[in-house]
Amino acid sequence: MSRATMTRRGFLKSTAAMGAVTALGISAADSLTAVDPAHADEASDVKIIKTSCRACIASCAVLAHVRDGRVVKIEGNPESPMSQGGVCAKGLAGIQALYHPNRNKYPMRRVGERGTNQWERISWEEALTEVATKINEVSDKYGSEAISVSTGGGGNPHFSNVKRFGEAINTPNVWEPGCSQCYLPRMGASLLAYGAGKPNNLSFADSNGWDYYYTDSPVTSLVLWGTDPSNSSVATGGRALAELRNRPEGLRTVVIDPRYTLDAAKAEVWLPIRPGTDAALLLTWTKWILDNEKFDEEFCRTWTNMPYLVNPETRLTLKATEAGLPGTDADYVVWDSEKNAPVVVEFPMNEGLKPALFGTYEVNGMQCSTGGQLLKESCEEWTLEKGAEICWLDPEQIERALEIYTDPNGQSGIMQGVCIDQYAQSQQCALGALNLEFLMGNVEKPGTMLQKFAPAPCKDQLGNTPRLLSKEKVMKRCGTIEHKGILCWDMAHIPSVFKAMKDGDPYQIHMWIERSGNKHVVLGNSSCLDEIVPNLDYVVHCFMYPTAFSVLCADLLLPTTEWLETNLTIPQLNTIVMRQAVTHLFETVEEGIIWTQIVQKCAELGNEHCAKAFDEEACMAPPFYKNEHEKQLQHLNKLEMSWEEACEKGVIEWAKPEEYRTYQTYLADDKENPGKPKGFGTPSKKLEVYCESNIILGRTGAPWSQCAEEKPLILPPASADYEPLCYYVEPAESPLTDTEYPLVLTEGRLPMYHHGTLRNIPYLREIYPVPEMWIHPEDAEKYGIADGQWVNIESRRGKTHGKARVTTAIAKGVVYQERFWAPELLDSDDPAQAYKVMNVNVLTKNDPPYNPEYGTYTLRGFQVKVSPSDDEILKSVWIEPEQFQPWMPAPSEKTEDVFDYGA
Amino acid sequence: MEIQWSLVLFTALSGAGAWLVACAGLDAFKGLAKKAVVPAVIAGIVLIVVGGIASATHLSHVDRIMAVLAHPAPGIFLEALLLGIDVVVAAAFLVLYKRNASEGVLKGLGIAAVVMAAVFSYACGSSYMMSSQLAWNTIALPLGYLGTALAAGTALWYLLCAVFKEEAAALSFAATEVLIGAVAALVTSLAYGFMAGVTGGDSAVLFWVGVVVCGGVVPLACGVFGMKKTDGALPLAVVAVAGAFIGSVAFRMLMWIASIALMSLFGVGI
Amino acid sequence: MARNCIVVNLDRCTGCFGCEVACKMENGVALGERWSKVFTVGPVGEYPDMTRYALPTMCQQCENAPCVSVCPTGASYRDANGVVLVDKEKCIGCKYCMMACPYGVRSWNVAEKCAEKCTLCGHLTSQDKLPACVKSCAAGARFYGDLDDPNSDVSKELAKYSEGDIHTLQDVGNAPATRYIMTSMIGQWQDRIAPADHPHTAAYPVAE
Repeated sequence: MSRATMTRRGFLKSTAAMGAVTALGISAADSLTAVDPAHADEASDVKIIKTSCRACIASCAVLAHVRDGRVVKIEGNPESPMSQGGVCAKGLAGIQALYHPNRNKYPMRRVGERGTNQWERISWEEALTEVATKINEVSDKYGSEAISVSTGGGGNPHFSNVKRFGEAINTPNVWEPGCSQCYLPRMGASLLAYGAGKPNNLSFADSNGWDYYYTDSPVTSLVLWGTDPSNSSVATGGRALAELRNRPEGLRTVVIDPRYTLDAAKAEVWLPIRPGTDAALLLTWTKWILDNEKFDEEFCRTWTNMPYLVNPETRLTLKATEAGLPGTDADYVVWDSEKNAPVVVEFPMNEGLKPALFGTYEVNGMQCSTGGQLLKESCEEWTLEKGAEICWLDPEQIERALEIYTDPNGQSGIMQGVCIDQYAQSQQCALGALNLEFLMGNVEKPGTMLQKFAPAPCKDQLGNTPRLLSKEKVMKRCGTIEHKGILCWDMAHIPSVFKAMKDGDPYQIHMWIERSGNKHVVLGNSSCLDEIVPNLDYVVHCFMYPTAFSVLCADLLLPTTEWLETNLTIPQLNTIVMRQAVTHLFETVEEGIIWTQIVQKCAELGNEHCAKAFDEEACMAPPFYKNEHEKQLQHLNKLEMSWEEACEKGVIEWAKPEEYRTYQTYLADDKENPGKPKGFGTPSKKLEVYCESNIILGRTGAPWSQCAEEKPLILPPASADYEPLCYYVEPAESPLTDTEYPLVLTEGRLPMYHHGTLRNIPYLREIYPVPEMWIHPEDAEKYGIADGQWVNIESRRGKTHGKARVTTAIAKGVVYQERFWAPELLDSDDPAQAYKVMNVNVLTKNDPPYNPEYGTYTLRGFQVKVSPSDDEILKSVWIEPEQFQPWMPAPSEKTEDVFDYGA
Repeated sequence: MEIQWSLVLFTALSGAGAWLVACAGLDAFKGLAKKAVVPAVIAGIVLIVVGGIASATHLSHVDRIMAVLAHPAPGIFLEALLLGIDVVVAAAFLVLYKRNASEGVLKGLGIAAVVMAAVFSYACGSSYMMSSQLAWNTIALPLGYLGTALAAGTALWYLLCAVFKEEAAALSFAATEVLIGAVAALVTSLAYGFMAGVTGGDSAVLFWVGVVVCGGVVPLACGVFGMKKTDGALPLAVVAVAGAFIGSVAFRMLMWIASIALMSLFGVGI
Repeated sequence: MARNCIVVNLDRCTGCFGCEVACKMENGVALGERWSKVFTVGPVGEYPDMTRYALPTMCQQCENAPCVSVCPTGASYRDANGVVLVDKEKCIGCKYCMMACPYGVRSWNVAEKCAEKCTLCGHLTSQDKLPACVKSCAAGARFYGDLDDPNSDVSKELAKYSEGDIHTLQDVGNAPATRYIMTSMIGQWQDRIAPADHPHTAAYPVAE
């Protein structure tokens, strides 16, 4: 196999003098200290420090072995109830990430044109002054909304801190590639329909489903809907499923996934669904459950708004005042079938009354259907046959799956994966799945997915300060009048932000501060950045090592910490797992400290708004911490322990499992209405099967819209009503009609990588050096693809490559490939190839139609074509293990933290 | 597996050398070749030793070779031992032949040389019989090593007889030996081919052309013609040597190329 | 003599490659070389009878280890605990042991020019710690211990399953000690597999 034949531009020496112009080491090894092989700790001078991994979001508790300031070994900490001592390949490779020779070590300012990869080292003081000066200048000249701030899932993000930062510098345009395309839809839908969601939703990989970490959970069957815990939460979720399956009674599973994943291989039923059609299957399931009367009638009557009558004019629930009945405009109305009359609801439900779940009734001259009736009508056409036809499934298999899910002698739950968050039907699929759980009464019972267990005393997320933004600024947030769901996270709509950057519509964005690895790898249609970034005056990139974004777009690089250098408190079931910095290298700084330092510098230079970020009254929330110490105190929150004590313990049990596992919290006594149950966190205190809160969101922005002057802040309505029920829309690019691009593309996670990170780790990359493109043998034959050959994959947005794997583990008509990039190509004459050569996000779609509520664009379920490839660039991609030698770790000495601890 | 050339050369050269010595030793019973015996034994010893050196180049730590001798086991130890004994037998024969030792002694050493050649050339192949290697785990493999070495050795003897212009009777007998060697090579390599299932596919050309035709049919034909036409011995002998050596090397190459591991999970190249 | 080995419960294994990397990190195994390798086997067959599973492989600690019997110097040997090991100082690099291993799970150390393989982390087990791959297993699927000790982790795990659910890789007289637990939840055990060229993490059963 030939070595990469590209020009080297030299490499960065860690002792580079200030001001000397050098290039970032990418493929070349840094000629630093000799590499120490990892030893078992024979010596007694090894300290074992309890901390937590952050190679992905599972945050497994680990033990770091440190000898003379060098981290030499990582192993799992068995004290964690979630990972139980396990740790996956990503965590084990943490030492290779920490000591990667190409770490960003110092602040670096660009010299020469963007893309030429020439940098000079500057001091932190200089860097902060430069950034703060630019922020203040742009704010004064163009308005602070002309600054865009972004983050992402890889590289130790603290999502709330970056939002705080945006609010502190007075810009509403904070965003991340996930958000509308990852987790927000499921969380938002849950907040609206279930009244809880942060967390408490159907995402298992985001550490929900806590009952399933206990093998005494009575769960008998689980539906893994577009999720693969074996890949996406290896040592936590993956472990939990392994334990449940290993019980004497085992675990029945249904896997809905176009891939025959290892979870599918262990399941009783595999439904290889056509990507983009989940809503159709959800509607099919809904109809079947209603028709076959599998739903929990009692629960639905008492605890959902299925029996609530709906006002056909407002489309919201009928209120007593509208019905002409005694009561307020906050009182709901149901229908008494026996008395054939409407009745005002006495929360939770009138004694002895069995309100009609279905039907349309005349009230006060209006034909009012119940929520249940509207649900029924919404799925009327979705027979098993129709669902099978649209979803490319076998109707008998769909029914087998339903039998398992609705087994009256069992307890089931749905785990809904990120796939539904990644195309234009995100909210619809999220609401649809929640309704299934509501119908089955799968809410806060032992064995269900939805739970509201006792909250931990510590905070991993500190929350943000949306009330620092004035109404004027909030109204300027790109895209959120139309897509109000994003307000749940106080973030902006990416295509709208890009329009502002590229076309100056509705205003020109001038500056972009970005914290995460690989925007080019994770954004939809990522090569759109080629036309966007030249319009920006100043781009800052904060990350651990150079990526395509650094080389192609950035003017300033700020080095951030790897997880072995950071601190956090992490709630895990009934424990807190401490993450404590085990070492510190060069001049790296944790992102949360970078944010506060920039804000302090801005304030120092006269930015009055920034000064307010440290004022609790102005924030109407806990203020911005000024230093690591204050940050730690905020994280500790109610835990009665010092940071040192907590770190010493490593894993702190703050409650017994029995105290932690609180079921049916909605039945608990309501302190504000003694004698009444609390109910759910929705306006009606009922589960919104008919999710009118979604309608209200679209019309007003409630419950998430707020600003400095008002909470709630009523916004102008979106261009069309958001719908309260799940509905199906054929994807904009559809295999049913597309002859030019005949195959459907989907993504899916890998256990050794996390988002765009870790492609530069030798021990991981040698296992899986290039992305596989899975294609069914029939399709392979049709398109002339041989197993193991490089292929071109093309969409209407662009072209990329993958290595074909011809396998029956993928549905016919569908191809699968995970995101990827080639760090080794950053050193070449065309560094953009690093993100283009084998990256499906060159193909994905970020133009309309978007999901109405969140503006979700299309990362899965769009059309491509494939053909064999012999493109020259492929020869430069590193495939052989020996090629990764330059990336083997270069351990270095511990250095002092850059900024004052503060205590 | 990749062809291990040092091992191919070892068994091909040393095996041929051993049988060359055996042919010289057999002459003690016939007394036909006066001039060729000494050169043959010397050449045989040289081939055996050169082959032995070739095998050492396969090792990465030749300096540790004494550890082999301290650890008696089938395989390298046995091959080294047999090689050493064969060299001793050949040297003894050479010395005693030159000193005109009695017929009985020379005949005894002659038989010893034949036995050693058979045992040694067989042992060169038997150490490859492993349950992990499905195409090697047949007795036909070492028999093939023996047969091809025999063909090469007898062809070399025939060549030396022709070069040293031995009389017709000697040449005719040498040609008979070539015939026997060729038949042995043909039969054993065909047997191996079919037992191991390596006659087709990617190995077809190497097997049928290299092993069967060059290594068997060609020397067979040379032997048949040579038995009658003793005046055309030299060219026939050259062709026989070429064919037999090509066949011998080809057979050994085939063993490596057509190997079928039970499982080669780590894919480590040998 | 003890029969120390690893038992892998494939019903639990999620194919995360953690054991493969744990071994490399613990033992400083060079790039391109491994002492432990995870495959995903299959799919084999057609749905609903489709089998696919993750299969971690390493030295199977054969009771009649061919690598020991063919080694000309005794560098490949069995220690007092019955563990098959390599004494690298005696290795002459003839590679017979690598040819003789029925599973091809012995590796070549390029720097030291000798054979090497899984040591069952003797440097850890001698201190009553678990081998790195067992300790780190994310799914709790790996066990280490003596098959002849009914109280060992391996014996206790195996005792939970019936004979039919306990498998070994194909035995050609070498008697591998390593056991794989796999029930019908997954499908059909494949006792002889071959890695694909690409990706090299895929493996399929060898047609007889």
